[in-house]
Amino acid sequence: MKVDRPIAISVIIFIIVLLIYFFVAPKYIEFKDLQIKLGKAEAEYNGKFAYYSEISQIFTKLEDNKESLEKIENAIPSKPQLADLVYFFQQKGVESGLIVKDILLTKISPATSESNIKEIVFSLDALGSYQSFKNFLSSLESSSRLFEVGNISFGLQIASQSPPKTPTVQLMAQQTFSFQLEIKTQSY
Amino acid sequence: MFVFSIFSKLRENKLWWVDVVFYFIISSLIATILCYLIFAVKINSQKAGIKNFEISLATVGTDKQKEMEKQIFEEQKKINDYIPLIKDHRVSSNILAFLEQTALPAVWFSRFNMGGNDADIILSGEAESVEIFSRQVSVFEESEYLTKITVLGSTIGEQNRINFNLVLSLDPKIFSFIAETETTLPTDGIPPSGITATPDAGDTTLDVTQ
Repeated sequence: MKVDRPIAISVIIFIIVLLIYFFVAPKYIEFKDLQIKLGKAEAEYNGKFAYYSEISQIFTKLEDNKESLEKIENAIPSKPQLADLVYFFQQKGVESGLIVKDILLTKISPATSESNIKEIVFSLDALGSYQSFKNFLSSLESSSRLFEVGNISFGLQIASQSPPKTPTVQLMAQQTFSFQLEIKTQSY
Repeated sequence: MFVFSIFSKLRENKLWWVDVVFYFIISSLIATILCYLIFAVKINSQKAGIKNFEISLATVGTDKQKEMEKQIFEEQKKINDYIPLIKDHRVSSNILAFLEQTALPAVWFSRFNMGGNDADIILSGEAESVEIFSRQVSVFEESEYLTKITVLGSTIGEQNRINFNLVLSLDPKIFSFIAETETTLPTDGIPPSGITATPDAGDTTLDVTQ
């Protein structure tokens, strides 16, 4: 059978155009879309994998530095723990040789939008020797919880029955001092 | 009509390039079919690849890893909160150390007051003589921690002793954590308590009387 070439050429061109329009072009578009999707999926996976690998590494480092983190945890506890604080002041006062007369909670500042840390302020009146006061101050400053002594005011406790003539006499006769402190601490 | 005349002319003349075009068109048809098949295969492999990534993604960011992530952010927040606090933290006992180390013998402080956010201290006391009081002020002035003396008042009291009032403005770096006061200030002759020595004992004295 002899093929009529010119007609065959025309028919084949027509078939090619149809094939391209209905089959090849849609497949190409689908191929391109999937290529983009595949790239995104790969990037997402690689990104997530790298991110969580980093997370795991940081977590391991945190585990290694647990002690330091516990110090921070103790420095700024999650709750104000007011009862513990009062007990702590009393206990440290006794250990230092001070008589803690008054402990007054003067302020708990609310958490702000900038920081959710609350500032807790106590006013504390105590009696004792200067050395005891220094010991008390030292125990506050070396405590794992962060304490800051804002105001310090102190003077000798005068014996009421016989006022001394000079400061030196006072010092020699009476060595009990009256201390007023403002102690600041923080919590979440 | 025109098209049919061209076809009939081509058929009659038997031109050589018609065969060439014919085979080229056949090749194009085969190529088109091949393209379709190649795209179909590629699309399948891409779909499989996407599915694999989706499965792999499910294994990343597990509940355990998310818990780790949460914990890390919590710790990071705590550290960020802690840094400014510790940076601005004031070690108030440094002021006492400063006074113990700068107070001269024969000078007694009857009142000590440190308040507010400034490093200002109010001191009242008594000195053995004008010379000693003058020397005491001079020692304060020589200290690297003193920025200025804002109030200075003195009166002659009993037994010719000098009653004085001082307000010292100190450099806030005195509150810093490093015990600089202990390393830079002279430490000779400081009694352990800093408050019990008498003028005659010749020790550095911080007498607190009221």
